[in-house]
Amino acid sequence: MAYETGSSSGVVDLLQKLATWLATNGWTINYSGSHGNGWRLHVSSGAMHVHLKACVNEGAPFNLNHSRDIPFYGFCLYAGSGWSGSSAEWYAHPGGPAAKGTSTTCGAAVRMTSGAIPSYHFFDDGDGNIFIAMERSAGSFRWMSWGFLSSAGVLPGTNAGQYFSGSESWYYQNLSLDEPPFSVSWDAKVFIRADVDSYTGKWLCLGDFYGETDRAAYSSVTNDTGGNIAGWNFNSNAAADYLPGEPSGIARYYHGCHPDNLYFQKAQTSVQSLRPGFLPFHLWAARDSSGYSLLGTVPSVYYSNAVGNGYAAGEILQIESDSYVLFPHCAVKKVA
Amino acid sequence: MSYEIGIAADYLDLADKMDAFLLKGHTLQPVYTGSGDGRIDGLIGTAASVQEVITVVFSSTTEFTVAGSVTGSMGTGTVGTAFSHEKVSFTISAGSTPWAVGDAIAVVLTPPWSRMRLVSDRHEYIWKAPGNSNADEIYVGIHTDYNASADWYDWQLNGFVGYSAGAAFGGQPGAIPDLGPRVCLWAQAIPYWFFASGRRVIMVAKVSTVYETMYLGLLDCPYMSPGEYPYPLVVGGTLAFSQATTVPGSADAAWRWSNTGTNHAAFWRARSTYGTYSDGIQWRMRRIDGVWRGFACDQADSTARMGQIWPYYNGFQNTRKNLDGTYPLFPIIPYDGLVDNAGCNVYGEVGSMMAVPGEANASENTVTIGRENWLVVQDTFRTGYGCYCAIRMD
Repeated sequence: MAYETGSSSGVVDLLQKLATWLATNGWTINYSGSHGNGWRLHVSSGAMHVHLKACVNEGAPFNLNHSRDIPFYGFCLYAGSGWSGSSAEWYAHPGGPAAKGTSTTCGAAVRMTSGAIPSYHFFDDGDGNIFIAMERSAGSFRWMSWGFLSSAGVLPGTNAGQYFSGSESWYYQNLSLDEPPFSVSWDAKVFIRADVDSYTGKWLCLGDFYGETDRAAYSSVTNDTGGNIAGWNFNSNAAADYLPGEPSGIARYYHGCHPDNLYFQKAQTSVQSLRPGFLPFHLWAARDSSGYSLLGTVPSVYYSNAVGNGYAAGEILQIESDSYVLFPHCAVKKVA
Repeated sequence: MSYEIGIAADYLDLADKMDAFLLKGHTLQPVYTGSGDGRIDGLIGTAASVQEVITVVFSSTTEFTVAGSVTGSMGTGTVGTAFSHEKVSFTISAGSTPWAVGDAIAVVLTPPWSRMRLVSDRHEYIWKAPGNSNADEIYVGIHTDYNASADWYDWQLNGFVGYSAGAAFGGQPGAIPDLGPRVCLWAQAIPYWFFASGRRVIMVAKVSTVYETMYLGLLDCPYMSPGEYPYPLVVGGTLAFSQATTVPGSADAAWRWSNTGTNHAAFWRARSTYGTYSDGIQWRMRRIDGVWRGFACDQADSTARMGQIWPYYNGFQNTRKNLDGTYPLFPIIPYDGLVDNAGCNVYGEVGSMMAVPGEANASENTVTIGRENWLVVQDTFRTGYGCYCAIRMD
């Protein structure tokens, strides 16, 4: 159980700081070293293997060339089931998600800047769930995380419940999204391992428009960018303007959308006391035939609109014996 | 919560049986410590119950002692045999892992509710609940109403902030100032399930194939402190009409249990009967400002005249069982989601009453999660996937 906060000179420095902190907290550092213009880090703990890259004005290191593979500053990551040694390509370690229609590893990305990182926050809940909040620019945060869901029942499949996430997809890493973590987006940024009916041995992903795997998952928190992205107007309440493939008929809350939509998220901060509510991120899988099943919730991370409603980013909220660090769109339990 | 399952002779006998149930002490959810995974069931107090914590401690795999924090020693008991004391009774069963010496079960026992009024000829009851710490005064009541020629027999429900002996049912302090919610019953046998703690009572009544649910008392898990919101009183039924529009005549079949209109719906899936008015809604809650707010789960209104109910308001009909075949449960949460965040509030959770998927489900099923047993109930006559809730039985 650990927490660390500080500032960083840039993405490489941050990844190096992360390596040091993870090692201190019991993670095995399989490799940490320079890679291209940037740095790569391969870590593991139990069944969880995580592969990270700090990108310095270079494209995403996945072996998935495409027209949007534009050089950027930030991170890429994926989780898998093993480590093939330092001579293996960054993207070639086993058990990672495969891009839709391929057998080639894909993953998530985080777009940062070429400059310093004003603040970072590392969280370890003590059960192998890592959450990293990074201030991209003043007041604007990006996320990385990995771990195992608090599952709904017993999830079927090898390493079921394993998840990892970034703030953007490998495909659209140059698009910087100011969104909640674990929210439905058109950009695949959260990956979850579970066998769902005929879909077995593979990863699901939130977001089914860019960078997806072969099966979509969904979140109880639906994206709001506060404006338009490539024609998707999230400030409209027209059904056609919701995300492609967005499910209906599951327990969810909306982050934003049109004011006429009386969705739960808009209301979660009490006007009586200004005390914010914390809501779990429910993650869902689409079933083969119809409908959706709950996969579970993300441990220690909660949706919250506290920031902007009486609280500041980075502020610590004490609730009885627990404390939480508040960020735009979320709160993370601070355990040390 | 303590619970009771039985069959009443008719809607009047049902009121008498609920009165008898409420005039006993009730228990909150038991807390288990130790390795044994059996359960305690049938927890119910008596008219002599007092506010205290009942502690059961195992002296062997099958024997235990019982003591109350106020009463002191209550005697000894045996697993599988009903334990009965002048203040509480229960039965402890063995699980797959036997009880071990030192295993313990702690249960909060609350005093009986007080009957403030009984008008026997009309079967009008008003009760005062003590709260879960015996520190509250929570006033609720029922008033039976019928039209024999139209073959409808209902309970009119209400909640109050006090009690005035000289005032009529609807004239009690702080009463819902309109027709308020009702439940639709009949003059034949009614299987029932009562659930109660010190702060609320929940009823499920089966009328033919229709399930009527009722809630009277405080919201069980408010998100605000008692200082901020001291009296989150809920009155929930299955039938409501808006006086702002048209109330049916007494001979109208809309008052009957067989009504299949939108004005007949379980309070936890309440419908905004006429689209825009709180007084036509089956779920009413006394807001912080004293207004009896209606909460509904349909999409009819976006003009801030009623609150909403999560998750049903946001859609629940495509929610299936978990991948391993078990059922997920979701809290039922009333909230106000007004335009532009003005007046928004999330009030809390109903507690011990959860939304459950309807896939391969049916009323009177039991969903078991660990030691918890949950009774599955449908929304009146509705049996769609999104039309079920579950009520915890312990």
